[in-house]
Amino acid sequence: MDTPNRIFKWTTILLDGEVEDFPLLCRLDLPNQDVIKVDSERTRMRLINKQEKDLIELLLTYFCKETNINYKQGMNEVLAPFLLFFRDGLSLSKVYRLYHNFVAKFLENMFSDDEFVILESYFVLFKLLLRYYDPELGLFLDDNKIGPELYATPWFITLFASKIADVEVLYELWEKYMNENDKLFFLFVALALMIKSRNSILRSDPSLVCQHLTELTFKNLEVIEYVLELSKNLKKNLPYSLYISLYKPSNLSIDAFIAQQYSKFCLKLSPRELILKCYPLSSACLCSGKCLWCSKSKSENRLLIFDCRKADEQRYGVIPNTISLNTQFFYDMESLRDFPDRYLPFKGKVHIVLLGNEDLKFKEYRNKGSLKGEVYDLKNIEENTEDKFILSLYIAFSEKKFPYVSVVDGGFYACHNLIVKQGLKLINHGPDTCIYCNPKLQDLPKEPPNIISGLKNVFSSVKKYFKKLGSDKNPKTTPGPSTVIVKKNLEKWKSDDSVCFFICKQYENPKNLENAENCIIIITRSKFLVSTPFSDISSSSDMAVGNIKAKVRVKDFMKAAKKRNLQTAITFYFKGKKLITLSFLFKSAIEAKACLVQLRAHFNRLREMSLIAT
Amino acid sequence: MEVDREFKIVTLGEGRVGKTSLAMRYVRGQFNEKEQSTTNANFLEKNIRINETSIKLNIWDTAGQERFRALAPNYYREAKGALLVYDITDKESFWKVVSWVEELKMQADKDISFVIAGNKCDLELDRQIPKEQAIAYAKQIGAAHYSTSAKSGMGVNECFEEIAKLILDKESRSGSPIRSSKARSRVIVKNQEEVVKKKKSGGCC
Repeated sequence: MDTPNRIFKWTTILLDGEVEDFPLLCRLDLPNQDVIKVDSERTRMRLINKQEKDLIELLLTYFCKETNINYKQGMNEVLAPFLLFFRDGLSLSKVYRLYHNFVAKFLENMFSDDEFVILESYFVLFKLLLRYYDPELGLFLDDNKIGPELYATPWFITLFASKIADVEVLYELWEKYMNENDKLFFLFVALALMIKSRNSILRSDPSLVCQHLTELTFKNLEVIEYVLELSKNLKKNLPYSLYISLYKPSNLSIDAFIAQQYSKFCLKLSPRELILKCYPLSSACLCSGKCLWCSKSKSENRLLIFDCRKADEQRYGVIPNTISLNTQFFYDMESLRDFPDRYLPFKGKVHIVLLGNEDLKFKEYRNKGSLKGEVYDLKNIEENTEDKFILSLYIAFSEKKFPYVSVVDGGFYACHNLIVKQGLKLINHGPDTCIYCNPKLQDLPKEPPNIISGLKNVFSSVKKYFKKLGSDKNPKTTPGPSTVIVKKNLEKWKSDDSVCFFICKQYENPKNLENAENCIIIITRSKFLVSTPFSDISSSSDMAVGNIKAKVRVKDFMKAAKKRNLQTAITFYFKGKKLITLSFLFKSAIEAKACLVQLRAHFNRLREMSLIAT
Repeated sequence: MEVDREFKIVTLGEGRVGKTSLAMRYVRGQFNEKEQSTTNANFLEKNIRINETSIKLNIWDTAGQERFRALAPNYYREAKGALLVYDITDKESFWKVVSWVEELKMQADKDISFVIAGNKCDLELDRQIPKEQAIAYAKQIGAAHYSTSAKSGMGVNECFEEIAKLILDKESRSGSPIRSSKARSRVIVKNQEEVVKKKKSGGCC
């Protein structure tokens, strides 16, 4: 587009009938005038001439005085593209109004407070959104303690201006950006820009990630087209209530708002949206189907809702079309971590929503390092509070790279109240005994836990899965000592530093990894053992805790081979009367490598002791 | 090149004193009179050798003028060294260094090493901060002081390398290992028990 056309279009969008020119005069006498001056001089230095630099200083000073905002670096970068219109005959006062209105509309409040608190709150929001859309990237940056404050500042406060060298490219971006007419659209653009380069970010050396991120930019028009298209899709794919929660004006003070943001570890879906989805046939809304909520409820965003309350809370009523889960279904942390695998076909296609009892009570984890650090120090899942259970489940989904995971704002309490108010039915709900209808009942002694019949159908599929896991819990004790591991053996190994355990899965057929069975590899100085998962080890020392599925000698180790395209799968070859091959699927490539290293270390030690002929 | 140690260093100081120019001169040997103002941070790295130790310096060149109330610590978290820069022709920028030192003492890593750089020494005629005053202050806080010019290159290598030396000295005095041990740890959660196995050998064939 040529410049006169662009000027015409932009003045139409931004000036809205403001046509009067006015004299732009002011003294250059702000307390930080020298900073404005130096910054004016170093704004787009290859493009802006001396006279224009003076004008930049004048306009910035005028802007600060008129709006009563202290000058901040970045304002100059936003002004420069507008000032260039002056070359094409636009009056200085119109240049100023364009700039002023652009900042007011698309950088609302960004510069208004001296401490950049608004910016800080966008950083928190951005972090949550990144984890929502691309958990792998989000957790990777989280692990490396790289927050948006380290790379996203110029994107946010200058709407990418300071990162785009070619001003024509910047005009194109801003023009398309303005068409979107959305003051928070920069969040989606920044997300799209990162997601576009996600693979190269994930492959970067951790010490170079920041550098890599700060180098992301829009090189040309194709990149703009691609990124903006992606941004729009990301925005469209956000469940409605999450979307409006971003834009909802907050009546909290800025500090309270920030504290609230930090207290979230993920985005929160509103109970209203959940109910619209869970009761698709009834008019869950009181508006008779005409409000924005109802129209959005027919959107294609599908929700998979997990009720994560305790079993004795679920028996007072459950919401239809939700899947009941609670800590009792998981016999250890591992089974919880692997749980998302069951929903692989839905990955990326549904929005996963975790429903707790009430609002989650998380202290802010700011400056505490990564989110995962918070939860993986848990030793025992059953000791966990419900909040931690939900957080663990959230991380389990995120680690398995499931995007779109959120929690329900206000939890079941909030949903229950809305459901009752609207005359909808809960499954197994007895208003007289329900602790949600009668909060006082909560203080009475509880009946023994009992899974009520109505829930069984919902549970059946889940239970089947855990039955399978549970079947390993009671290994047969009949076989002789060579085929079982008894408790005292295990105790001995545990106190021996040279023995290592690896939890993994064993598979027979490389084409069918789905059928891989849970197992534990035990590597001692001389033996390589494969056991079934250990069962309860609290009883007597002769009690069997696991069955040995395979037992070979370290000195018979020949070689190991990784499966092509799958770093976590390793096949070990051992000498014997016949060649013995054992194939395993590890949780991570690091774990796989660690196992191999351990085996080789013992093998080498034996070789050094000349026990193995070279 | 194998790297024995890796240090994070931050550059701090008021806007336009020449933090980016110093870092660019040091890492890339370039000086750009038309350096854009830094709205975020630049992340640079340089491999150097001090005595027998090869060191990778990760230099976090921060934005000067604005500090985020809660976010500034994210820049200097885990930094082992800080290059505090002022402009010898600007009195205010020196006082900013003083306030940075106070903040770092309160918030940053306890063992952080400081070096103060009086930049723009090519503009000696416009000097506003007497060199003696700056050196006396540096001495008082246990830091080294360098007169630098990103434009001419004067003192640039020296001030960055001094930081690396100070960090190494501090480590050897406090007895921290020069080479991080390659101890591996492994955690397995099974049933209700957690077994932690630590392996000391880093051997691998």
